[in-house]
Amino acid sequence: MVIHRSFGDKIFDSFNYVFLTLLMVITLYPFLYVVFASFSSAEMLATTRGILYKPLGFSLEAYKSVFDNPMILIGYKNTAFYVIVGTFYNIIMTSLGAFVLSRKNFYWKKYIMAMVIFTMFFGGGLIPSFLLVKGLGMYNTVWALIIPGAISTFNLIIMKTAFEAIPLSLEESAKIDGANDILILFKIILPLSMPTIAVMVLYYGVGHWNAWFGALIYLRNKELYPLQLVLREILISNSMNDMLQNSDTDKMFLGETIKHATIIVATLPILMIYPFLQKYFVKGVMIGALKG
Amino acid sequence: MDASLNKNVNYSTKKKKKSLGETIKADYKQNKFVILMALPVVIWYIVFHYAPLYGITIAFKNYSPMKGIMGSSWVGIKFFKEFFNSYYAWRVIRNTFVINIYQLVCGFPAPIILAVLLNEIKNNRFKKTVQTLTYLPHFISLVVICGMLVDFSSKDGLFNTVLATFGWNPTNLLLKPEYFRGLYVGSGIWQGIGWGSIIYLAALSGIDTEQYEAATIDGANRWKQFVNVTLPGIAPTIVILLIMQIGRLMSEGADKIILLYNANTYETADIISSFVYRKGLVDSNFSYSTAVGLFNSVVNMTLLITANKISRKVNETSLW
Amino acid sequence: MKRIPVLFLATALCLNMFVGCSKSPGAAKTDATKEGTKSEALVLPLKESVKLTYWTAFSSTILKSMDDTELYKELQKKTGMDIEFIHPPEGQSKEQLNLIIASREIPDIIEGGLTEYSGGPTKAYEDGIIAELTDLQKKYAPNISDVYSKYPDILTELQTEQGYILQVPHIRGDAKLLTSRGPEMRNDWLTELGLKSPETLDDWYTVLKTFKEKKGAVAPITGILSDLKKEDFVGAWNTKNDFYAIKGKVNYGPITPEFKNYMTTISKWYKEGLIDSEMPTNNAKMVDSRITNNQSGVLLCGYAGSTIGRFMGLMAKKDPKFDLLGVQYPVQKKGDIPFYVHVDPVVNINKAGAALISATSKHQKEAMAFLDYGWSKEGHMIFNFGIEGVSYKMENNFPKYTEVITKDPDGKPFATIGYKYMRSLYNGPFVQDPRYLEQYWDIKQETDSYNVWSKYQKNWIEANTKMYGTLTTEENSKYASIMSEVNTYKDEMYLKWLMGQQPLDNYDAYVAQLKKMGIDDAIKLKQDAYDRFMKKFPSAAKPKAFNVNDYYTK
Repeated sequence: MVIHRSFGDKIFDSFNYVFLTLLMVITLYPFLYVVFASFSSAEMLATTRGILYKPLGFSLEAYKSVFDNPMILIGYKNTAFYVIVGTFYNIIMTSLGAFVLSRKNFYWKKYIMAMVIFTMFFGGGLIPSFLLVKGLGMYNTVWALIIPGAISTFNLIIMKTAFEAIPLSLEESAKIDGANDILILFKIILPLSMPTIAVMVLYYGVGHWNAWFGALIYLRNKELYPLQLVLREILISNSMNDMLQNSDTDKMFLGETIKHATIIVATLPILMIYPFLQKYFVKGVMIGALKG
Repeated sequence: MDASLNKNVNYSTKKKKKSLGETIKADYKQNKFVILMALPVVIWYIVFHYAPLYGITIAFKNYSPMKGIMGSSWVGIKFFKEFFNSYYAWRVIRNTFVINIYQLVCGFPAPIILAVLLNEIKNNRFKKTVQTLTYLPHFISLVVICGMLVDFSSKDGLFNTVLATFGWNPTNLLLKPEYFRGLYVGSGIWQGIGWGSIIYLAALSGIDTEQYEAATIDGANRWKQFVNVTLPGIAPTIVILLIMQIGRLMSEGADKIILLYNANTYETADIISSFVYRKGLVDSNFSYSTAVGLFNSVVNMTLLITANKISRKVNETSLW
Repeated sequence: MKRIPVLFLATALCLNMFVGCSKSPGAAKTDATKEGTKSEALVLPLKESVKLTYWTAFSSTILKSMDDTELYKELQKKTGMDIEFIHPPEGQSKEQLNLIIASREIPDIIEGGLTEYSGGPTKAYEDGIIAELTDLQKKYAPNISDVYSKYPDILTELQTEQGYILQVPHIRGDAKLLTSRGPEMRNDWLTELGLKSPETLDDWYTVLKTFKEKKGAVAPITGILSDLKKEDFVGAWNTKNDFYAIKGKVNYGPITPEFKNYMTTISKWYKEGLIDSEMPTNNAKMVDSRITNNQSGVLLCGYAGSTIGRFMGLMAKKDPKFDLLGVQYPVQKKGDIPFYVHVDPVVNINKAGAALISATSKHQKEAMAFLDYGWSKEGHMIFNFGIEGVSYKMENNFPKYTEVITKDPDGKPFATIGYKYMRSLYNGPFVQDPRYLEQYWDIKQETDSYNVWSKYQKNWIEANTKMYGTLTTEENSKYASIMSEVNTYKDEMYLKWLMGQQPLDNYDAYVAQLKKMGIDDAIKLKQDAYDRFMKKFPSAAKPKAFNVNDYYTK
């Protein structure tokens, strides 16, 4: 199929490219800054302000401080567990909920929806939740970071919207063929909602990756700490050290560079995962393929 | 003929009123599996959201950790009164609202526009690159972003240097109440536009390519295709997210505000949560902050319900 | 994975009901003057080990827990007790503590004075969380009791108004440990420009102008905004940005005429560019950058250790002439005694370092004995200097740190390695010995600055302008409401005046507004608390300096 590109089209395209490039440069800058800062010498960073075009006096001190810490591998290992198991559990629970709420003739739908929406606004707060987790025997176990966070109502609603967009005809022809609701969910709805599922994997996954508050409240055993909590501790203990340091130039002002190194250490794995999920965001992959 | 379709016809033509029991029984027959699938979800909500709900009563009690929530004494709306009677109550409520409206008007469309523009790019490698790089700032911690912002806004910082070439008189931007909202919302867009566009990109990729082909055959140009195929395709996503954003109009975290504001910008920058935070520094009162939070929630819920009602009337998309 | 919801709803509710229904213990007061309680001191080390849970902050880049420190390994050995440490993650100890209390598992020993508990230690005691220590001390803490008997002034600062002793405090044992903060200036610039170390505000004005004109200092005075409001500087106008007492009468600085004079001067200085124009938005990094790039010459609020030590070390290579030195707190006229001198309290309670014992602990005796050990002659040395023969050696009766501390083979600095062996650099429930400081401060400027700042230490102590007394929970609630509004308005006006956006003519309107907000009520609350305190502890009206550490060296 030949698409005729008008002159107007070409102008728009050029502007688009320019604009997006500009946007990319601007939004990329914070990340670049952090990368440069993390490889900078601590003293030079402490005395410079403004834009960084490259690392100031190359130094690996910050990264050394982070990786020297015995807790760091534990942090990675734990977070990998929380992300994989947690996200899997999230997707299952959220899909079930979204499916149920997207059924057209379900008597209880209204009530469940109201129940769900209500929780978006009202919650008991930290103390009852804490007591609950303790009461259920989940305190100081990995499950405290997985089960209480099973469903994000925000994500649930997004998924529900995506499920509702799937043409009823597909569902009905499946029902004619004798499929029950469970099969419909797994064989029709989920495959057709892959872009949304990919987004959910990203949202939940990143959520687990970045999580630290739940761990802080529910975990006492440091061996279960997720990466972010470990990094926080590294950062804070180094900053405190900065306060007390006395005429020992090598280790001074490290707090600043470590702050940036921890961000990179935490973000790098995400950067590597994203390209895998990106292919789900490519235009119009699924519906046409399935229909054909 | 398909049994379920039959049932539907049954219900819509029979005019007699069914008893509740009959409706439920009939629904069960039709939706057996649906109910089964709903069970774990409902149980989860009850256990983890409804069981702890009694914690709300903290807002109406004089909470003491040792007495526990049940043992603390009732004080009714004392803390609500305290909040509303404070000199700055209306100012912080107004600021919370206004900043959120700014974010709604400027911040909400931004990721949508990015997603749509990206969608128009034919070069896949460029598209993927932009996609991958623009979401990165989302992962930079707020402390670092605000540190940059403070640096850029200072008298000899980046913003002033650039503006000076247009004849601007350099001045510390964060000291001016009139610029605070712009900086606050603008930096939010800077940090979040890429990440926020992901959901819209997913929605865009869910649009049936056949529709575009059909439109081209009908002779529609790019703009017409955008209006008639693309927009309707992502409209449900936009509407849902918009409604949920409206349901957050009274909330705003204090973290970023505290990192950026100062006494000179309290006028526009001090919001409910930062005000409550400062009060908490003098006397940490769980009940007080819970009460204020409850007030926020009630307003938010009202807004959401209203937005949803309006949306339902105007188009078919709504939360329920 | 899914369990019956009803059961757990019930469990969750029951748990909290139970919590609510149990009677709160500890409300009964113990008679602080009970006669006839002999010391029944436990013999240490205990024959049968006892396990104590110990809540404290911990922050180290080389160790995971305080349990890993040589210090506590030694202490556990000497006392025969097994300590299980609970370390809250940094910066979140308040939430953690509230949760721990809500779940009823109160650690045997809690360090930190319970500052984060709403209402402080007194309320914590009344709520039945911590124990009252008078009796425990008499029976099981012979060392602590002895020190208190020789230095009864400690009790003035330690006892609550009701006569409770609730904490084992951190004691700053010597005058040298009390003063560590004050204004600092570029001494090399002063010498180069032929200026003497300034004393009066006029001296300061000259120095600042000269720094600006001759050294091109864009921001002669720099710092974060709160530095400008610190009493080290504001004291030059004989007032404070807070409450203070003159001869028993409580004043609130920001409504006094002296405060207006202060505002007039600094807004003038700001206008003339003598104060960093970015000060209201400065953060620590920007301040560092100002100093190291020679854009500033004065720090209003510098510390001997962390400011001088840091900068001198940093600039040693870049600019060997760089010299930062403390100058006197500014005064109005030459020869005046500064209104304010930085003097940390001898008795450090309500902050990190003070220890409390749980009211529900089954091992209160042992907990008391454990804490008491730190006050014995032996324990004192361990806490301050570590293990003899390993981290320090006695030379001419002086505990000198060994190379394990001063020259770590991995190049780890004093403070980092020190944490493994002692707590003298930080706070803790023991008496802090000045002899650690003499070795920690290895840059001459640090000691010199201390000498300048501490010149009028005794005068300040005797002038007795500090605030005493604590508010009851109800009073505090009212106070907090008033002050949160007062502070907001006051801070706003402060900046508007500083930056010249408002004329100081409307100072009176500002005072009137503060009165409308209830500042007079707040002052009265503070005054009542002050008077109550003075009635109970009349010796507080005539304080004098005392060095508790002499107990260990004489």
